[in-house]
Amino acid sequence: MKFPRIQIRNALFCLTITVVMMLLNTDAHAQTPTDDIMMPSGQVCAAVMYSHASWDQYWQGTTKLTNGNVGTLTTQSVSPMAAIGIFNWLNAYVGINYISAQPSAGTLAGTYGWQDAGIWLKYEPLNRSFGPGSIHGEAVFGFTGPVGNYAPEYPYSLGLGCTNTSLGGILEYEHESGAYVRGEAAYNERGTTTISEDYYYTTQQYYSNQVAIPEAVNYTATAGYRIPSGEWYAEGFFSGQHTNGGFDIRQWQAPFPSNQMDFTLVGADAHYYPPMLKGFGTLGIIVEGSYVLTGRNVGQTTNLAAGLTYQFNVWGHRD
Amino acid sequence: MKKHLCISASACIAIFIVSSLFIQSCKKPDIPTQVTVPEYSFSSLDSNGGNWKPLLLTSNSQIAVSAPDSINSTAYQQELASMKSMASSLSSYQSNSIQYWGTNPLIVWEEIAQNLTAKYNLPPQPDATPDANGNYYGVPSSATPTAYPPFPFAHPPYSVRMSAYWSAAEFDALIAAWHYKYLYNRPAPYKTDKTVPTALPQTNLPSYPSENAVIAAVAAVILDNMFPLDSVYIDSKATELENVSLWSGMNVQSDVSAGDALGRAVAAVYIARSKTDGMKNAQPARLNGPHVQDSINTVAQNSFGWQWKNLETPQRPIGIAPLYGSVKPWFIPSIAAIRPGPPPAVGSPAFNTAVAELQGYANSLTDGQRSIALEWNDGGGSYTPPEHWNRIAFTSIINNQLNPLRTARVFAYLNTGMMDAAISCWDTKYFYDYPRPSDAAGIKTDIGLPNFPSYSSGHASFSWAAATVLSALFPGDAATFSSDATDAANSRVYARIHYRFDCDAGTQTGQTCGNAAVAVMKADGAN
Repeated sequence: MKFPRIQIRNALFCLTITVVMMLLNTDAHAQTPTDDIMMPSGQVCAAVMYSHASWDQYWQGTTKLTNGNVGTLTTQSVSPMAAIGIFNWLNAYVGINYISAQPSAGTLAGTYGWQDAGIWLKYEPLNRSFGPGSIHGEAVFGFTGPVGNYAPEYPYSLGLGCTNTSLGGILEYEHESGAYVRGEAAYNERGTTTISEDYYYTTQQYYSNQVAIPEAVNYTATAGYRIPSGEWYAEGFFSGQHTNGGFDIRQWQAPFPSNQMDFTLVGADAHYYPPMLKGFGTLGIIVEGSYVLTGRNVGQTTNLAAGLTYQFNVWGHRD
Repeated sequence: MKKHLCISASACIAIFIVSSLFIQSCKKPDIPTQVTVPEYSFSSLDSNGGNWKPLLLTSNSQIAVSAPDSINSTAYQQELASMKSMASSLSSYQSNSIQYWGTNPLIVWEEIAQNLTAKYNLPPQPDATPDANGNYYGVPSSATPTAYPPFPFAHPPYSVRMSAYWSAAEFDALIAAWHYKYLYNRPAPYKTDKTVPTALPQTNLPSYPSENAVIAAVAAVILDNMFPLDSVYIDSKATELENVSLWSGMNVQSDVSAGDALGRAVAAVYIARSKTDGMKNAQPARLNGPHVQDSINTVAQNSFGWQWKNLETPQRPIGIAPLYGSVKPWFIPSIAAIRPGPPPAVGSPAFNTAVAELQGYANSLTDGQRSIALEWNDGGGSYTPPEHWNRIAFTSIINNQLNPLRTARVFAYLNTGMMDAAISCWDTKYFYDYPRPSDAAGIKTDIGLPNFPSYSSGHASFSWAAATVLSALFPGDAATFSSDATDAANSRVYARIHYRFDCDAGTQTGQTCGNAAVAVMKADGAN
């Protein structure tokens, strides 16, 4: 079953979903809807992702440790999200996370609840043919913030508890064969987190319940292949985050929202569109896996995720 | 496929707007690293303060302070000229230091003590591999303070003792200072010479010996002893405070030298007590065979049918300071005599009721309850509950515009009262050696489980001793103190690391120890 090329590109927007799910996590793969696909005006893609992440080793500063009082920390999340094609060159995204974090050892209780929600705008100023293929460039502006009332300072906290304003760029080159490469980077400005204690000690004291969270940059390099019929694509990626400031987890202590959290990871994902429901929209299945290679004040997380995407026409342009 | 222009004008404008929003949000807030102490004038100078009863000194003249030179002497005039020239041309560092120390340096020293406590309040991390005895954990040693784990481990028994010695020594030293101030009645330099520039409020307090120098010297000696690895920092702060007395036009050099000598001598009396108060034996050194926790556990098992154990992995073989209950108290004649009766037997109806309450919180904790549980945690990495209470006292001290002598009295009775409560609590904990809810009932917690037995609650003990003392000092704020102490005790039950009866028992002994401190305080001549 062949999909018209433009339809493929519309449907492929939902690649975004694979990382939107992680956008809202502190161990995020990336912080922006991170592909080059733009939805045409009038199309909506609804999706839900389930992820299962776990680590039994973490970095206390730059020292890798296991902690018998944690064992293995398993974090599961369910992330419903949607993307809306406002104009062909402007898309909006919304997403929210529900998370459960459970240790396998120790006396501390696990946590669960709504985490953060976010909204992004993606603007495509660059879209042109280039040699035997095409080149695309997008700018993404995003805003996320906590919606659950989780305690950010809790050792198994669901999130950082602060707002995150991000600005990023994406550049992709797609060869006519279907192979493509993509690079992206984003700058994340974090807000202030409120904790219950009105004194805390990082590398010095603070007589306050306000914690300034340092800004972070993240980046991803991706290489992949889309089959010409559009029925599936698969890609591998290398991603990283660097936090500009913050402090290292103190000796044998719990993490804290203003830690300096850095990491690199590798992963792969694939998206398959089974040829069904023609005329009612496009259904897709995503699978993704990633593994943290290096880190600072983060867990060495193995993450597996799967989800469903459903793209359909709401107004105007029909596919 | 549509071809868009690479970058259109509207795109540029949009990106510019977004970037400027960004840059605006880049402003990081200024998070305070110090409690603001507004400059205030003292409600009273307590000219009779030299006659108040010290806590440890035998009299206000136990330490001799010789008479100062006359203000008409050449020596004094030279000092005055030298100080005046310093005070007339302050660098920005000097001005900032004067601001930093302000009108009540004792509050600033208490903050320094809080921050040093937080810095050193780190439970030892397990070694990668166990030693020949199967033990993973080192023990800090004052003999080798830099070996891992560094000395001290500033847990609550340690921090309350540190504060008690520091604040009681300050109080006694300032009683002596007030005695000599009014005995020698040397006027402040700005009284003798109206052209002395003063950067702090002028008062009628005689200036010899300098109270700031007394405060600095006592703090240096006691805190150097308690935090030896930070002695360079502590001594530099003491020197800075003594210099501030000169830079601000408050004192001349001989005022400062006499105050420094007096402070050091009084602190030495307290250090001598500290060497024999039993703290040396409170925490055994690294295991080398059977140890005190073993015998405590055996006795408890035989007497009561239960015993406590640490629930960490790897397991810590000894609790924190198992013999702290034998440390010398300040006001309680017999710690054993005020020890509460036993907790309910594990599995008894009273035990089951207490566990049911905890399970209720495990199933559904309100946001307000969780907030209290976290706000009062004051666990590893924090400044500990006793220092939390010292901070609560700041507000009342400032609002009542207390002079340094009265401020020292507040800290002295607050901390010695809390220390007696800590001794009683630790005596109780290791006498009954009662297992935690996580151990006896499998309850999960919202904060980390401290490394000592359950009954009774330290938070309840410290907090009710503190609330009792502070309410006697500041009756108008009594409702706040009671509410805070109630929250502190409840926090442990909301977090499910204590049974309700742990907190009830701690509340009782806390009030008993607070009342014992108040009884001595009310008879010290200050009211």
